[in-house]
Amino acid sequence: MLEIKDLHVEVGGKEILKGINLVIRPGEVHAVMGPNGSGKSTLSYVLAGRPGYEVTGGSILYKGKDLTELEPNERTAAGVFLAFQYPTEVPGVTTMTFLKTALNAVRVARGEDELDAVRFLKLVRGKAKDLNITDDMLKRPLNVGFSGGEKKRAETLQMALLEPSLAVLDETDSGLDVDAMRVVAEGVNALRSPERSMLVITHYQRLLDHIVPDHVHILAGGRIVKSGPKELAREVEETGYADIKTDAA
Amino acid sequence: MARPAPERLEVETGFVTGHATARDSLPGTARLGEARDVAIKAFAEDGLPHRRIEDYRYFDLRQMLGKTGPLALAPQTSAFGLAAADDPFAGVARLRVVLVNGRIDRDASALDGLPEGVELLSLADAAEQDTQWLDDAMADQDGTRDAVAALNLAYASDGVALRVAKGVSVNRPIELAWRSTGETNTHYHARSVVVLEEGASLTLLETRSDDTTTPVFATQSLTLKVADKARLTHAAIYADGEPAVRVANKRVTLGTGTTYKTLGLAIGEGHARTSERVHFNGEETKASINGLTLLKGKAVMDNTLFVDHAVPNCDSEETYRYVLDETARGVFQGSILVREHAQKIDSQMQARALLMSRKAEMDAKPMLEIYADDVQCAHGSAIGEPDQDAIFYLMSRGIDEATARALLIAGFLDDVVDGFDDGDVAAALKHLLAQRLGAPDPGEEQAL
Repeated sequence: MLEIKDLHVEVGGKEILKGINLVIRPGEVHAVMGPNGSGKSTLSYVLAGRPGYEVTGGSILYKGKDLTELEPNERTAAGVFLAFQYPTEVPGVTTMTFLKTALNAVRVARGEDELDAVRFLKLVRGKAKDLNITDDMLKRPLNVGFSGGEKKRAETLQMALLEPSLAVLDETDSGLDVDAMRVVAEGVNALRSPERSMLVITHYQRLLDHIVPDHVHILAGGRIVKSGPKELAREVEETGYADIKTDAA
Repeated sequence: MARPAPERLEVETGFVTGHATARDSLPGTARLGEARDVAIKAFAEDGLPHRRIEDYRYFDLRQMLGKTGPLALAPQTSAFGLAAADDPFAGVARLRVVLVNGRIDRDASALDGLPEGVELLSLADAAEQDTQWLDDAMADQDGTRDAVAALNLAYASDGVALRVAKGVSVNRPIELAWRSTGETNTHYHARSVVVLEEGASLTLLETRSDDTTTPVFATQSLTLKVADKARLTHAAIYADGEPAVRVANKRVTLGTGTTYKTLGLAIGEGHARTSERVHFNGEETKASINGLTLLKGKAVMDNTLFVDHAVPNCDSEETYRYVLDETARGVFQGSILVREHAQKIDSQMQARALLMSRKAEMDAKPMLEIYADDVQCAHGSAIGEPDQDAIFYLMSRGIDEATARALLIAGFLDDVVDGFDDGDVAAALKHLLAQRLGAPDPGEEQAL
């Protein structure tokens, strides 16, 4: 699904990622954990194609093709989805209008027909209900005045609608209380399937109690310093990042 | 020592000499005729306003009309084919007055079913009848000397005189549809008066567009008198043609406990200016004054606003947004005066612009003049580019860059429409903006 080889990334002339290697197979859930400033968000943005994140070395292959050649919207159409740590507020654009525009853009790019308003509403209301998203929230401008929980539920709804093959979740637990995190995690778990892979990026282990990964990687200083099974996350929780014994570099 | 009178342009002398010829064909009583003579005399002294007149600093009429030569008074003519595309309020059930070259075209208008208590006259007819309420409204000047207002009074050929009687709620909006047509260089001037008596309510719409390729200079005077406890909503769409130069002078007086909401949307190709003066004459009154400007090419839109808080306990919100592409130019001159005894005023003025090209220009000059000490007033202005983070966010949901930008810009403008109204009129405005920007129509899902 995803094959990252010796990836080097610069932001504003400063090297942030210094040789990342990561392979994710279909259906696998990988967690990337790391302290602040380790490059976690940079990894998620470079996968989504954010302008200003320059790949200076290495490669990202997605389904065997070079992901870096695609525009952000083309990546989404191809099945890569990033759930943002801080979703952007877009005043004046209702969540509903945005969702319909996004879904139909992706459907057309995938060779499917556009949904008319009636079919779209039926689909979105069904998926919204599972995430406790009300019609009122869908009528509000996108992310404007949403609570932390509402923003993350809206991100999860977008993911459910756009049906990615590879979902990247950037600090999905930040700003959430335990109950809100459970709702979001259930939404994410409902999307797990043998064809769908996930990359869960987090600072804390607690999210991984709810979204249980197959593999855990520790990111520090722009490199993956240790990889292991899901138990590695708990080890980090107990010892902290400073005392993690790294794999031989 | 008086400054020597500047040399008059051909177009200016044309206005003065032309008046002697036109005078007798213009409607009105002898009293109005005398007022017209006084006005043209004032215009002859002042000439067209130019950039050294502070109020016209960013809208130099003398320069704009300098090369046109003398203009002929536009002929009376009937409506050209009004295409559906020329009807942005098509989705709004309404009554409609069509004015061609400043004169009412009865055949093209749709006024069947004017409710009881609503009086709608052609100004030309009303001015002959010596109607007292109209004379009062026409005479209600606020003492400012304005050469354009003088020219307008001197030449006004027609307009609408509309009165809504005490307590009457007009259930359908009334639209004034202004259109120009012609093949020669012309000018025309219209004067309208809308009076809402105590407790009355009305939604007034205006649309403006042109079917002309030759220069046209038009002035419009609109007096809105809102009596105690009345409610007036006013939405205007200015889609001027490229060779048009238009100045609209709006004067609004608000009584006690009134609600006044207005939104002017400029999407034209010509040079347009709206000067609005809002006078708060009664307490517990709220006004929401909004302007949206979406221009490209060489178009210019000047919003000049003066809000006079003369009495205590009132709120006003002034929100103006501009999206300027190519070499378009936007102007905002907003001034709020809070007089000495006008305590407990809440007034928030904001002007924001998005510049879509390096050659687009925005001139913003917000001012507060406050003489009361217990007030909450603020103004802000910001000029920038579309938010790159938001564009990336939208693109990361599969939306291509052009659509993402269009969606973002439509949102920037729709945001103000949402604060203005939530009915058919707002939907029509948002639909028009989406169409202009190539953005998805926000109305579709909301309708279900």
